[in-house]
Amino acid sequence: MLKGKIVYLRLFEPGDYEKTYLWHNDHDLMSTTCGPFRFVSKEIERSWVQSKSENNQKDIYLAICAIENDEMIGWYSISDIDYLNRKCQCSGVVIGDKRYCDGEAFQEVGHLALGYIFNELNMNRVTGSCLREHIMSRAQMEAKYWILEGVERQAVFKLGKYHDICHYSLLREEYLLHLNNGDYNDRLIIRRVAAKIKELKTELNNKDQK
Amino acid sequence: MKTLEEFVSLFAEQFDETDPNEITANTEFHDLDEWSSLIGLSVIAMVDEEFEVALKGDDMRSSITVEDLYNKVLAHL
Repeated sequence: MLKGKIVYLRLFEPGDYEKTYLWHNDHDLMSTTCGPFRFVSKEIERSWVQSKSENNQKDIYLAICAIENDEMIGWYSISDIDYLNRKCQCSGVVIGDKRYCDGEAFQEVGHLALGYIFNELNMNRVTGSCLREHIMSRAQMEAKYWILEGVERQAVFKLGKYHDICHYSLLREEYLLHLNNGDYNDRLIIRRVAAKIKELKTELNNKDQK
Repeated sequence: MKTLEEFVSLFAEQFDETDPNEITANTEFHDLDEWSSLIGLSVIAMVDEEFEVALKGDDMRSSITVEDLYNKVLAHL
């Protein structure tokens, strides 16, 4: 278990499918992800969660739970864990419980997960991706010093059109440098997020006008 | 000091898909379709920038309406 002040992270348990089923079927929630929207039945969801709860090697699916009531409020997934090349992918951060969509829980999950990835899994590199127009996702990654490595053009078809995907990475040496500099202070991050949001909105507006 | 009306306008600017006219002081913001943890983060960032107030998760969770949130901001000043 990884424990913060507001949330803790634990591996999926089979019973978690009751909640993930609701979130996977939430079109608004799933519209911001890189993957297509897929209908899932409880049976499909039960099998999926069961498989994730039995595997903690190549992929790690962590339930995000609120400390105050032990309720699962979302999940964080680490995928394609490559122990030889010491790299992995942050494949999803979902806060499905709208009561906890307050930004603070999200921030804490990020801190806990990166600490685990670099200090426990001993990864050297972590990657993450999002839709180009998902400004909020890009802003929070860039605010935390993830580096944009490239843009995969028209990579995903959803919501009636093709979307570009932005690919980011963070190296262990970068993470430790910023951690030791105090750059991951919440208030500093929040201010960087605000600046990044403005920057990215301007970028997208300029792109749309071309 | 920004008024409630200005706060509502700033709050509404954090949304991409939601019609700003839909968001009023009485809007129960957790029920908005577009409400997400990332929008929550951007609201916290906006409050920090415009009001120099550090909102906490508790402030967001215990607020029902946009006006409730505005009052939380005032309480921090």
